[in-house]
Amino acid sequence: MDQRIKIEIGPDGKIKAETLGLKGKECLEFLEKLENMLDAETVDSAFTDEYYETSQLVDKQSITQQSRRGKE
Amino acid sequence: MSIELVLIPIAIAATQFTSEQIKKRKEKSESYLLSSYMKDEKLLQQALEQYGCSTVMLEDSNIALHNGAHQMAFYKNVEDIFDLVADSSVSQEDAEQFLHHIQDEYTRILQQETYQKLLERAQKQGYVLESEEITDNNSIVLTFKV
Repeated sequence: MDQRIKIEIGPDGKIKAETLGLKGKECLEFLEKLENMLDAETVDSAFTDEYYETSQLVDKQSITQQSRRGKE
Repeated sequence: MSIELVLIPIAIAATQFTSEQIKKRKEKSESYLLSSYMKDEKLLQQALEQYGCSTVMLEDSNIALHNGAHQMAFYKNVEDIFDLVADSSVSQEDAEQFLHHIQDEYTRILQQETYQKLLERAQKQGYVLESEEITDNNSIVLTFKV
């Protein structure tokens, strides 16, 4: 899936940003990049379902790998 | 979707969104002070001049201004945020209304500055602007392919 960022600059100066198609830790890396690009500070953030789905997948894979190593 | 963020430009005090916009505090009987959320002296000076005020830069980034017959000043407080100081010749209601207009002008200029900055920096990062629109509430919405 293509990766995109959607940025809304409000007339009150407030900025809303949303990442699309970015997975897991990629999102967090984008936080700092956006702050520098916009000369702004993050005051609120929320992970969406996609972030958790990806994180759960990574966690599941880690557990499976650890379990296999344990059996070996 | 992966993550949603709310960011506040460093030119604005974040307290704008968490506390009462204007707090009044009597300092002396002859003058009073109104708190603002503005932090950037260049943007403030620009906002004042676009509103029709004549301004004089003072020491420590403070700004004296004439608005019609009234003389007022913006002083930076210990948190580096501007306070409007007016004397008793200006009614508090007029001073609050004036500050409200200046803050509106300030955020309007800030919105344009943020927009220009974002376009330049995104291009340097190699992001491709896919769409741009102005919403009914005058927000600018930009979508980049990254």
